[in-house]
Amino acid sequence: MASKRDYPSMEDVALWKAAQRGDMRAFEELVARHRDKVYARAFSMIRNEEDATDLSQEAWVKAWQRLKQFQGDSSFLTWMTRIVINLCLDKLRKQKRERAESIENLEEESGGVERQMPTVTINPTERLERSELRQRIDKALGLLSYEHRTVLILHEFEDLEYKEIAKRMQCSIGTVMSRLFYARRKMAALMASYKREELK
Amino acid sequence: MNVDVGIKLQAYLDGELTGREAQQVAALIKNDAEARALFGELQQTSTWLKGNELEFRLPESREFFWGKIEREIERLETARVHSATPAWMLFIRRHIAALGGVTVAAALVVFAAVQMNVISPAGLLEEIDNPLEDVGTFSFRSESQNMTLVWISNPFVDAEESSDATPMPEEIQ
Repeated sequence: MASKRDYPSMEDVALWKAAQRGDMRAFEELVARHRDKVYARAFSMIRNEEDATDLSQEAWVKAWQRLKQFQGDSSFLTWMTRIVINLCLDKLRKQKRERAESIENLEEESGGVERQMPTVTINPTERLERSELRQRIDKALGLLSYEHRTVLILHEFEDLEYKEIAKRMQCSIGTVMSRLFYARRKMAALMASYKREELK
Repeated sequence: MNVDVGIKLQAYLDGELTGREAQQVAALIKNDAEARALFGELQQTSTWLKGNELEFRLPESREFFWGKIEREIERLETARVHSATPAWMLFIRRHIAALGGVTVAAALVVFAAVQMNVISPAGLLEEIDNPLEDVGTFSFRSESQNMTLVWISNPFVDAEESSDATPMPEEIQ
């Protein structure tokens, strides 16, 4: 019965409702539809292809297990993205525990070089194609510590408020504000440095 | 510039300030060139990031990726069912095929033996007793016929009488 359905033409809502009733083919269609976006979020946070693939797979398995809890308060993709973000945060926290904190990370937490950074006045994105701008942003994001990168991703890409970020990152709102401030300043400096290199 | 002021500028930018605090920061941006420059930088960074996230594609085919997810779901559901089943039930389930196989095989052997008259149901109650093998004494008891027969034979005499008989162990040596 279920196999006769035209899954690709079904809306997300119809698919997850069918999946909640145990229809695996409907769930497969949801995976096919959103797998790149879920993977992209994992990769932007983890910066490692293999880990991002594993975590996005884990997120889909978790989603299947918790599907009955999903009430449709947000879009299915938003719900999925939250699952993969939580898995990435768990992984990053574990990695952080496992390795000794570097001096650089400690400096970033308390401001480090950004404290003395001059304000960026040039426009580093002037005459840049959108694809090139995206490349530079990604390159700069890759150079941030995981705390700074995560706070930027959650705030700028996921549109989460300070309170929600604090909850997910298991820290205070003050820490979120501080991390976000230094992350933005460092991003600005990195983008400006790419522009200066280009001008040379 | 003081970091706390910078963080307040940012909170204003992100719409996290309301009322009097927001008015104070707005006034600061208007009147202080340094605050204005920093606010501009924070604003610019936010603008770059919004909507400019690089897109990444999962480096695996749809079928391969789904296959892994499906197998993992099946594995976990099997494990969940197992964890909810009592241990004694699991033991029976695990060995039921082997026990069944042995039972069927034994039944087939008995059935075949009965069919070939190797064993007769009545014969199951008969027994042969040969306590002294050297003397060649056999006792035979049949419950079905209500009879006991004792047969005493001399193996040396028997061997001599039958010339074609198999040589005795002593003769081989």
